[in-house]
Amino acid sequence: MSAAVVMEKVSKSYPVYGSPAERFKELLALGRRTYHRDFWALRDVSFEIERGSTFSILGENGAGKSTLLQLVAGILRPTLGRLEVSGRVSALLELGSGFNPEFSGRENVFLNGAILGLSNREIERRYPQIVDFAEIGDFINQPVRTYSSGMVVRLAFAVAINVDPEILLVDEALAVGDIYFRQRCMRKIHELHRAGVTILFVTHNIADVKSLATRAMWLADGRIVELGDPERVVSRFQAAMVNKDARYLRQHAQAEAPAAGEVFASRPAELVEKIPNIDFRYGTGRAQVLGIAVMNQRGEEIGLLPPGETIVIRVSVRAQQEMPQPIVGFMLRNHLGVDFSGTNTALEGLEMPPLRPGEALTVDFLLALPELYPGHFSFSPAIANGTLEGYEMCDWIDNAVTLQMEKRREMYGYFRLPCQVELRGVRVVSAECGVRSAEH
Amino acid sequence: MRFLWTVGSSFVSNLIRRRALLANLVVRDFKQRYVGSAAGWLWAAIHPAVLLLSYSFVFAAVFKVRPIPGSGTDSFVLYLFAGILPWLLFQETVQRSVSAVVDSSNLITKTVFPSEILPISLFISGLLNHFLGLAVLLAIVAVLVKKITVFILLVPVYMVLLALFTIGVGWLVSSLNVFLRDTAQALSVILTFWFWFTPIFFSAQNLPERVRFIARINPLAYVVDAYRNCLLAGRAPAPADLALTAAFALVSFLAGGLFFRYTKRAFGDVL
Repeated sequence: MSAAVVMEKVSKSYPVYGSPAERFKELLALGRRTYHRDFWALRDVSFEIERGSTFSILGENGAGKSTLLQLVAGILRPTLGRLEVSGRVSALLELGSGFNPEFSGRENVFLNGAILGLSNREIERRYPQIVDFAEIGDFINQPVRTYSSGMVVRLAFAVAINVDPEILLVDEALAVGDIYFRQRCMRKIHELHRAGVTILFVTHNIADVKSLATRAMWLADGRIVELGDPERVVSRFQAAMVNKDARYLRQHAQAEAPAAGEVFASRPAELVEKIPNIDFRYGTGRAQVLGIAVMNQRGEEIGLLPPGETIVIRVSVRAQQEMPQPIVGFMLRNHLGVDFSGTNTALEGLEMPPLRPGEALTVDFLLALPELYPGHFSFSPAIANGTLEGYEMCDWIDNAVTLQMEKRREMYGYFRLPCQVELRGVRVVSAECGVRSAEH
Repeated sequence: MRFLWTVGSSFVSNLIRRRALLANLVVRDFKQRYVGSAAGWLWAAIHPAVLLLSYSFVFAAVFKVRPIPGSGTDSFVLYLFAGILPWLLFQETVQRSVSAVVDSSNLITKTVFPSEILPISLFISGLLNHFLGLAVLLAIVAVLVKKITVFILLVPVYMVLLALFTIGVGWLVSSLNVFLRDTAQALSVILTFWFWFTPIFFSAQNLPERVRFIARINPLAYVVDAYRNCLLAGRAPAPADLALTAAFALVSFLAGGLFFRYTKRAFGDVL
């Protein structure tokens, strides 16, 4: 196995000029004078992509992902470091960017194919496949400006994957298009992968990374944060994004209520500070819900509720005033808004420490999830002060998290009661007997 | 020299390899200009025809300008026609090249695109109009003057030289325009001067001795003169002139090509 792409300490800087003329002066000065500041889009990036593997790049906007693809495509040159690419590269950097809206789909297929390096005869041979994959029918002879954006993307994708690339670069191209087409693209990419094509793709879609990538890389501010096993990279990336979101929310909350004494010296390590949704919120404000997370037992946030497994509902709260008897709980509602099931620390008999102003704590509810019908379920977290008999509701958030119940097998009704079925034996019963007895 | 040879041969082999792209670009450009218009490519003939008639009206009918003796024709229209054809090809290609790279920025930044092909495709696309004009001119000469000589075979030679010169200038301006968007404006001013200082409405012999150098340092003047000599007067251009034209063409082509090649590396960053 040789490497299809090798990057060794590659850095890419964009010179930032006061005006385009300064850029030109510098070009003519042949390096004797500089007129710019440097903006480093990539710094010291080193990795190898094995021939035939699928490599995924994750990162926020502006992390340098597109720059990296442009380097591999040969559109940009590295400022420092060594970059080797061996093989015919087909780049899906922006689908349909080479299309001219005034020309027919057919003419654009030929032009685009020529840009990708095919001769007219080669395009002619692949043309039926391309049109077939794009599924745009008779529109192929209409000007591209009459196409829907989905059709443009389909056609562009169809051309790009039919040029027999050895290395395919995909830049979030699949984010557009309908679900059906996305699935076909993914299948096609799987197919290309099986055919030995080296694939390098950038995406925001975690599921794509998990299903496609053999290796993944997380870029932030032009540097590699994590490189290796996709599962690990994805989970670290997701965790970072969740934290960042919480930080943003917190900063926002501060901006709105600067008077509140927001600074605490120490915070429990596992404080969740993310509230994905707030339908309605009420309470006296004596304490507040900081966040809620629904996780599996490994502590990873989940997107689907696994029937028959134990999940963790983590709720973090913070006291604004003295809280002698805090109660933390949640309500589980179904898609009709019916209170399906709920519990709290008092009901479960958990002794809670009193909270002083500014103190925060986190409660984990380990919930053995029954097999419920595959609908949407929401969690509404709450913090109260008092006892089950009499309490003060401090903060209640309606439907903070909504998750879909995973469908694993067929189910009748709302949920599957734990059930054992036994076969008692086989006996022959005469049909006539039954009929006769019915007449009596 | 060795370096130039390597660059040149890799350039030519690249052109041959990307001929499908070149062909597609030419077809696209040709269609693009006339797509959606009812008269289509007829406009390609109407524009120069109107230009020719207007100039002829002013110069021949109003100012009574005559071609100098020995031009092979008394008709100012024919004299002007033969002279203006190469100029129009040059002007059109250069003027359209200047914005070509900038206009294709999405191809350059999003695909692996050999941008040096753009001025070439524009020249070839313009060449189609040029052939049309030549055909009309030859038809008129054949019918009215009834004198077509063997020197017409030299026209393609000049066409190649004009191609080299024009594409070289096209590379220069299209690349400059990426960095300095004023290039397009400056170019149209320069082209206006260039047009009037090129012996198209007059002959280089009409120029006062003091300013005759204008024609001597102007590559287009040689091409215009050669077109007239070959098509109308039935005379071969002086070998020294041909050599000089070839030198101009090669220098422009090489300088423009090297300049483009050098500045191209920054296109992705700027566009």
